[in-house]
Amino acid sequence: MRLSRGDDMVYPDFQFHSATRGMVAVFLKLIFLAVFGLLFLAGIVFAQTEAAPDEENCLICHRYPVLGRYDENGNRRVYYINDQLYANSVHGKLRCKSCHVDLDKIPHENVKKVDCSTQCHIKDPSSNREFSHKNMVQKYQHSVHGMGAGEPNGFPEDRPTCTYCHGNETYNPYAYAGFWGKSEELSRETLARCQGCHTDKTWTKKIYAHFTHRMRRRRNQDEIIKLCTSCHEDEKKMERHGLEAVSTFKDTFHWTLVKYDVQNAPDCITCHIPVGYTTHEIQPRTDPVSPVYKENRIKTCSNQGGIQTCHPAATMKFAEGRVHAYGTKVQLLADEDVATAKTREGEPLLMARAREEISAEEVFHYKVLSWISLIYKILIAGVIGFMSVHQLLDFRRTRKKNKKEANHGGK
Amino acid sequence: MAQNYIIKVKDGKKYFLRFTVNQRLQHIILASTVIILVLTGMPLKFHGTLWASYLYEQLGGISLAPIIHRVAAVILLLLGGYHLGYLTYNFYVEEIVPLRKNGKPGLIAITKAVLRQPIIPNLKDIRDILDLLKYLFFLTDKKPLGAKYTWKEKFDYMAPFWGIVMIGSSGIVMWGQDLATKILPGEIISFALIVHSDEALLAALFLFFWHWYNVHFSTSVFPMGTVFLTGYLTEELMVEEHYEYYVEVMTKEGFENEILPPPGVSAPHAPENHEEGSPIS
Repeated sequence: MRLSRGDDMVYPDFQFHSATRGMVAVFLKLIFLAVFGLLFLAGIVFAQTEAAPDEENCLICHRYPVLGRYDENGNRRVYYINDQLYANSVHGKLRCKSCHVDLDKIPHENVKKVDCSTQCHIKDPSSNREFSHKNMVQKYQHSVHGMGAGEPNGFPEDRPTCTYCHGNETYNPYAYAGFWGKSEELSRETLARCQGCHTDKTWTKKIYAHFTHRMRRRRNQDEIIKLCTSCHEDEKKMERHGLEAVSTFKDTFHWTLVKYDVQNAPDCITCHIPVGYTTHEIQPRTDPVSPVYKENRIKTCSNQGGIQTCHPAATMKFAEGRVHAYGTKVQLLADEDVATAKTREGEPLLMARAREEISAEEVFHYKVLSWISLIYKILIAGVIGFMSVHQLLDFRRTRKKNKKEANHGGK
Repeated sequence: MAQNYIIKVKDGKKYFLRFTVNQRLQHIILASTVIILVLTGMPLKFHGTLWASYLYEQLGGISLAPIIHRVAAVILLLLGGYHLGYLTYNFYVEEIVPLRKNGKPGLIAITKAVLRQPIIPNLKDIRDILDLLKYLFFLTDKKPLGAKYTWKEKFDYMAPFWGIVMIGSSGIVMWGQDLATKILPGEIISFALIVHSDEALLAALFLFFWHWYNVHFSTSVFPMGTVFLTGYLTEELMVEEHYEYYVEVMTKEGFENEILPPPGVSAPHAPENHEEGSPIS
């Protein structure tokens, strides 16, 4: 898992068995106290003066890297804030309480998860009003991934929250790979040019990083695929929603291109959120606004907003060929007799959706594809098996014969 | 161009013509294009493995290797076309023309002529396979006596026809996927991908296991049979592999008195043969 939900960090790799947890907790408390004391002294001596103004005095505690605990599940939670990293992050001008509302008591009680649609006390330069991600959050809740607007969508625990995808690694001192992160192409020269006029270096760096991040894709193809498949390859989770797990993308040539680092190699968003669509408003493929809705596919394959042209001469027939959809649904229909016999959880919904969405032609295509695969498996195994057996027998026979002849010659 | 003597005698040893210069050139083009195609294709099938990405990088990576692959593929397809023309022409000159002279170029006569060609599988091949099984399982000491082309060689020869048709057509579909899907359903691209890569794997394994074993690693030719370069086979191997044809050629060329005994019974007569300059040493 990349990230926790909410504002603090979870490290599931640091899990303990429940038996040892109590002992560990005592030890940790002791170590915690000792280190806390030492660092407190050190912090006074080496306090960094360039940090962002901390008007709420949160850093009085949160500046210490060991500040954290193990939660009920044995996950390590770190409450450390590196004030310099934070000041350089896109949220650096915000005060802690702008997002972490209702934290007036120490020690904190009833800590709520951060709600990204909160109005923060920072002015949006375009409208000069209080800024908020509310717009985005509302649009997102209407999308297929969202919690639903009005009537809630099912299984809220499965639905990705803002921070599931927007892992702001700046706040994570362990995952953070330098100030420039993974965007190696960020140009210090360009930044220097900005700083020519915008003399506040921290501000300029921050705005520059924000723009350049927004102008390019934050994740490469491999990372996008990892992010999407972190849910979409989970069969059980998908079944609950009447979806099939993505299993066959990695059989496609698109994936091969990704593996060989081809520039603009197609990943999930290339086709599912092409140019002109946004991630936050993604809809099911049965919806006419979806880029993979049948009628829209030619455009998606051939010419995305005049910018990305992968298969410029794509025809309807071309676009109808499904890229990686021979998953569970087609399989269910193809061997229906077997499928009705077993009762896996959520199968009725999946089966109903399969009947609704998959045409007889597609089932036929799937069968042809399976036959071809099977025939080749048999052919390869058969030919290679036969050849190996022949070779072994031949080798053994020839050796025997040579021995015999050598004996004759000796006499 | 060197004249193609059926039997060449050099230093008292006889060498037997197997492949003409034309055929050898065709084989070299076939072999080199297939090796290039396998090298530039397999890393795509086995992407994600270390050897594949390393090998692919050596061959120019994703920006160059596909071009090499396509150039080699075009050469191979042209060779396939040339070979079909070559076969037709030879068949016309050697079979149809004589038939015309006799005045009976009927369908039955032509079919018979086709079946008579030494490369076409026939009943003897089935007998040979059964005899070979007997030999391999120690039921007999006699190896089947090969004709001009043994069933193994026929298998080797026929396989590329199937391979080129399957891999070639699926490759063309993927190359011109926009054009192909004007006529065929879009699913054809998925079919083509599977056929192309699985058939290629089959072909590669076949070539490297079977063909290379027979011409390189088999105990009688190790480390390498040179016939694909020189076009001539030694008398020893000729007796071993193609005894029937050997007798036929020796008789035709006037060497009736020097015919060696068949492979199974060569040992007892060995001393006599040595005096006559047999290649066995």
